[in-house]
Amino acid sequence: MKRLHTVSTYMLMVALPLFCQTACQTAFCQDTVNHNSNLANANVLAIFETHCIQCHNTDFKQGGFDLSTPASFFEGGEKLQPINKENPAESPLLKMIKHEAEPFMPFGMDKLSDEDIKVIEDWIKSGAVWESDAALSNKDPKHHWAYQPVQYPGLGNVWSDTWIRNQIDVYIRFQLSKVGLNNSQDASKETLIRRLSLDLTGLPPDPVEVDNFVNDDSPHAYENFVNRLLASPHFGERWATHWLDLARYADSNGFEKDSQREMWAYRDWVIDAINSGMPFDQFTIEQIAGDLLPGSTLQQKVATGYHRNTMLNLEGGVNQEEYRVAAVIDRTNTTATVWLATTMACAQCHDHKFDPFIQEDYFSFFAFFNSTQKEIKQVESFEAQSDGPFLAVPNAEQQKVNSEITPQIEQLKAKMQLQTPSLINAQKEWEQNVKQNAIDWQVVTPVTVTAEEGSQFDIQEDGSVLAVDENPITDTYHIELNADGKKITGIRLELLMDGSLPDGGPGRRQQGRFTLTEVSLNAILEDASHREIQLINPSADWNNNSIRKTIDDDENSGWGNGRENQHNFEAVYQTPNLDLISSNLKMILTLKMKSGAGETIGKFRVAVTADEQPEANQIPDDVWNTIHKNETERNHDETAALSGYFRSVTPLFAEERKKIEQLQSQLPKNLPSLMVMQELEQPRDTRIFKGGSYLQPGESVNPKIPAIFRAEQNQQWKTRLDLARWLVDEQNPLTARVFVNRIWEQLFGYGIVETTEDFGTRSPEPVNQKLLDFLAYRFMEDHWSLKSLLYLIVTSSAYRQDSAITPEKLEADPKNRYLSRGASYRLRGEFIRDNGLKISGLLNAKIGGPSVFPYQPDGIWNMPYSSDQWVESKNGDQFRRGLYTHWQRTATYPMYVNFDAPSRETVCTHRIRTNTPLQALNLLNDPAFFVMAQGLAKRMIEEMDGSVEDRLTYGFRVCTSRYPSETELQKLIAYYEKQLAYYEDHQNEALSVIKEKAQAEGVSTPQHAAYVMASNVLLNLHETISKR
Amino acid sequence: MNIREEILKAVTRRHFFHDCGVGLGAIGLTSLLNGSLWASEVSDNPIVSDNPMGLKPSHFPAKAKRVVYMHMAGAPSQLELFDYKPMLKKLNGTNCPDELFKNDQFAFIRGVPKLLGPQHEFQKYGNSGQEISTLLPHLSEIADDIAIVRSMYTDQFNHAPAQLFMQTGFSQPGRPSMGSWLTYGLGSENQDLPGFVVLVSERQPDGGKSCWSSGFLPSVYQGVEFRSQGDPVLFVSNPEGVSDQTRKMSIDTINQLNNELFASTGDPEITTRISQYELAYKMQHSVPGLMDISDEPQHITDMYGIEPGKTSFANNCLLTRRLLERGVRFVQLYHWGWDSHGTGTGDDLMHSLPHRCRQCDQASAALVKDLKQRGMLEDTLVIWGGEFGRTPMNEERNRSTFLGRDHHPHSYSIWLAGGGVKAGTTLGKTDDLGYKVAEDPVHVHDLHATLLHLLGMDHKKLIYRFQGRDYRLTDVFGNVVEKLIA
Repeated sequence: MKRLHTVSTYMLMVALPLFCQTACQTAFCQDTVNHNSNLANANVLAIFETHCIQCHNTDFKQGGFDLSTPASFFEGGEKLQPINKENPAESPLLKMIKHEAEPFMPFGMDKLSDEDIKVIEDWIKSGAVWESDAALSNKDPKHHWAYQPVQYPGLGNVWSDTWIRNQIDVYIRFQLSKVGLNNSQDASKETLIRRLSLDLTGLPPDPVEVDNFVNDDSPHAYENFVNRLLASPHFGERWATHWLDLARYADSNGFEKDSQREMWAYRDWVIDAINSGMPFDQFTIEQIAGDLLPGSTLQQKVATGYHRNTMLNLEGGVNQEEYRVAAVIDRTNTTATVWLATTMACAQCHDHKFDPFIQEDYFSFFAFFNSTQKEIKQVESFEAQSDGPFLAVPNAEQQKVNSEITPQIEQLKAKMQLQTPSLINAQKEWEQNVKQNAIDWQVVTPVTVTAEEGSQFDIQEDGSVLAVDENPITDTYHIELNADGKKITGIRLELLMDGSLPDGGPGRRQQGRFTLTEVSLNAILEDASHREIQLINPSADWNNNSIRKTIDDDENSGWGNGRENQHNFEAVYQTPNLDLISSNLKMILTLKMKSGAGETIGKFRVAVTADEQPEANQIPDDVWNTIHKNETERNHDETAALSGYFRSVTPLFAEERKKIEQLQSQLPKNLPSLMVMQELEQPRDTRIFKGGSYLQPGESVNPKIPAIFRAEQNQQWKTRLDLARWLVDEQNPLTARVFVNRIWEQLFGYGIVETTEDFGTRSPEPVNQKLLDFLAYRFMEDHWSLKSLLYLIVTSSAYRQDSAITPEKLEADPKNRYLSRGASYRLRGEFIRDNGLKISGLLNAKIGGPSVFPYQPDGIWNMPYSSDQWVESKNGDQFRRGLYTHWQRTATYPMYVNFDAPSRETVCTHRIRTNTPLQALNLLNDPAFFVMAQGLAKRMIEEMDGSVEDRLTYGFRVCTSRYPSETELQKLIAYYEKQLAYYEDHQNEALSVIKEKAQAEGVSTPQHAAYVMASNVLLNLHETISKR
Repeated sequence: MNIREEILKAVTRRHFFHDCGVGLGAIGLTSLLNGSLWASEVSDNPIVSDNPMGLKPSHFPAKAKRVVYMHMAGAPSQLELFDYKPMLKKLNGTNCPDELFKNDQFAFIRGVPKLLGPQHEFQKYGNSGQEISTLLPHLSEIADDIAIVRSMYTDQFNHAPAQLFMQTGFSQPGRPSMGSWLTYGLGSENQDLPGFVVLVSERQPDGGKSCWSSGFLPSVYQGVEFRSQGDPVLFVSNPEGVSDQTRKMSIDTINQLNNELFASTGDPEITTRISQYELAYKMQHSVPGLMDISDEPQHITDMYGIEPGKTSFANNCLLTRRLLERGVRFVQLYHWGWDSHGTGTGDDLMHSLPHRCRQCDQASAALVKDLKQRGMLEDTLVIWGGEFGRTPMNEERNRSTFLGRDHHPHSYSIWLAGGGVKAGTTLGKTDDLGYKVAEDPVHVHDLHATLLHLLGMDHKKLIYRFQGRDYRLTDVFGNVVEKLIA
């Protein structure tokens, strides 16, 4: 492999430890290979091969040193020879591995064990004889199986065997014969229908479905049933549940506040995409870069929610750039893990120690994701908020309402746009009026402006005043004006936007916010004494109701613009008694801004008038200017804006405006939305972070896929779309293999490569390489169809095997990696819940929509600085499938946590299955599960007439899809009888158990209670919560 | 684990069962001999494989067997509690020197901050003469039993990341907590309670439940929160109308039916399931007894300062002792409200800080005394501290007139006791203004390395491979702080 470092190798070696100084995401990497040869020389070579050859080989001679052959070994490196024949104890090699001389070896890794050092030391002291001609092999990662293109593996020896139903069986059979195991026969039809239903839809079959299937002797009964399941809308839910772990989907932001977020439109997109059979290549492209597809649809943009499932730290005082970078790192690592099963994250801080990825590869990959905007904005002085970008996604109903109302509004608007002669005249008349009544304002340039609390000012040529430098929390401005002896009837204060102000002003808080709390005007008399001039009838062009608060002598109230309201403003005060004052008048205008949040005015201008009763001009500036232009000078836009404004104020259209307002109030509000990816217009410069830290940017890199995958050197890589297309390029050796392996793991409990998240050089070999390659090949041939892939797998004989375990098979293959029997394991948390809901008849099968809040105990959710509460959903929403449960990252639904769900803070590629007492307590006692027992009892009573025996048999069948054995039934009946006896003596307890109001007809209260307890037992059976 | 040990443990378990009067009969015994407790199906990491909670040998002889970590969320001010700075007092109100703060990021301080001297008195206590704030009168009584570290420092200056860093060695959620690493490495000394228990008073820490997550380790190693509201352990009590007798029969029947399935399928996972249901039943009995402190004598509840019927940090300290007595490996306590910014009386140094001290001082000292009088302190490591320190400068956010300090990652203080820690010493020094560590710096990774060392574990060898990478609590860092070890 070619290294791309430009620094000298020695420099690199010295620099490496520094790379690790910042806490990065990289774990230390420790080699664990053993070497057992008894020969001293063989031992030494084994140590070299394990610890040294990676850097000191023919391709890549760190320090010029290559120890792959005796010749190159003894030749030594640029500076030194490894062995000092005269004085073996002084051999540089020995001193470096003993950490007595720099650079310490193996470089950047843990020191060799004392035993290893001793082996080498003894070997050197005994003359360092290299007793082998064979070159040491650097297991060059280029040749690693996972980086070779997928090729059709051929059939090999085909058995003419009735067991073989499809090509999968050929590979399985071959593998079994190699390890001396036999396959198992098909499982019973009852077992198979349950297995298929759970695997393909995550829900168990009802007894009626089981009977139909068992009694269907038609030749393709099995295949037909598979096809029915693949067409079920629950198919999408089942496989979306799996994908959501890979998408780290959650309904909260994570970190301290862990506030709620709205992302469920993405979750629904996944369900729809899977249900509609969207090919995986398209599924990939839309999620990674749907926004960049030419003419991308709303749904394609929704798909990009995939990479907005990253966390957001909205804690007060966070660094926005730090967390933007953290999200990009997460996108990089997640993409590498999910599509490529590659531990790219190892190369964030330094070159990958084992796999062929250098740090530049990491940041070139990172660069694909680095051109989106920052994700957090500061809204208050220290408050952070998600900065989107958000995308509104109306649901079907909202779209329907929209489509009914919007045309009506449009019609009214169109009517108002008509240019009839009478309207044209009315407008002209109105314009005349406006011009005639216009106030003649004269700008007064202040003589001085001072502030009480530190603001500084620049007085501009146009008479306006711009505040500069420090912005105090509160301030009071004093503006000295020369009134030139004019008659003054009113004074106007304009607040103006300016590029130097926060977000453009006119205020000096974020978003240009200002609050003017008090205004006063004083005349300076000839004796220099001040006399207050009364201000009356204030008016403003915005929030006219509040302007009087600026002259109410109350500093706790005022007039301000609030959030997201940035333009120029004006306020006008009338001064009725001012003309009584002598000429050469000087005035002091005082503006108090005491709200205490830095909401001072950034730029203002003062004007006076002598007109009668001056008021603030309510007409927007642009319209105002147009009115004062000759008609011939007005351009099209100006004319349109003026005409529009006129129509928005003229009494002639009062009725229409009212109607529009009414209709608009009927339009759907609170459209669902989600965060999506959106590319910056100019790509951001990406730099290699030294040591992985964003605080230490190094050389610039361009977006590129890692070198090992780059077949064509000249290909142009630019955007996420290029990356997405490469991910699903048939030349990409990983994506298809990685995907089929995950599907295999979902069905059989283990992947063909056990580490579904790592196909790197240190991953275990595929247990059946040909099978893996065949599946990947077929998957691509079948146009990346998940349904075709599943059909292929579940119609194989390998899949249909009975899962019973003989002691011999347990001994030979405890994990069932070779598949000499069917797979059997406990369901994942969400499916245990789904299963229970279906069994109990409570399941609300509604698909999609906002996440729901099923019962959970109080007190799970008590985050500081958050008022969010878990309020249990009602009206059947508490009984929705598990993937709709609100996913709170720092307080994940406790039942899921008990059953190994990840928090989804970052991607989880496979869940480890545990078996704990907390799980038992959960299923026995969780009120959410006890309700299911009550539901199942009701089904037993209502759906099955007759004896206790019949009813319990029915309940058992609902849970397991099979009939109980005689022993099983007797045990169940015995339990029922005991409970019945108990509850006959404890009627009140019986009422609690059945819930008073739910008493079923035809049975007594104690009988009903006994059925509930029997249901509780049935729902806790290993068989009920497992696939087998 | 050798066979003898396995059998011995099975017999012990059986004995316990018998004593409990549960007696699930032949099936119970079968499962005890075959099954494993807290089992995990899938793992390539050898020490998880069979009985993940079974006792595992330490790397070398341990000084401590168990740990109590009292995390004071929000970060107490070291300058008012443990690190007295006369020079800072002298320069109170003057501008902070540029060279100190210019290149630092602060959460809330803007502009040029002013130095703020210590706001509470200090005295020397005990034979060792440890210098401790008068805000902590009870702690000063045990000055000779504790080691104060004045030279802690961390990488993080926001609460959630810093708390996660303190507890998991990484600033983002998703890594295993210290307690998870320890139970993974050493197993549990009891088999009817979790190995790692969390007690929270008032409010959760900012880092949330991720602070006691098992991360990528199997979920058997997660911290189990013993709640002060509702069921102490989730779902430990029976639904209304379900008596203990009924529950016993239910579990008996479930296990009998599961055993039928085992007979026909031979799946060993079923025997594990059976043992889990037995264990669940035992927990239903052991947990309420553990949580019921009414059997504690008055002088003990007085010592902790417990107000009957209330939930508090003091209650949690007493519960901690009871958990440790029952063989729990790691107890994490969280108390809340140490974030003394000085934006009002609710978070300032003059009102809020003394209030938090009163809530915690007596009980945390009592726990050490109580462990000592029971002979448990010598092998119990106790740690008390926050996630970072506080600035030597007054924060004055929005010109607040209340005194407060901003977040400060460069230096802070914690104390430790028991478990092989050198008692009666103060380790480390900060500069004259208490800004940076001047002597014997102890990074969070170093503390972790030391903690593992005291528990007999080499922090470089306690590893877990996840998604192709080997992880450890100390990442690629950490040095054992020899000076802290007795």
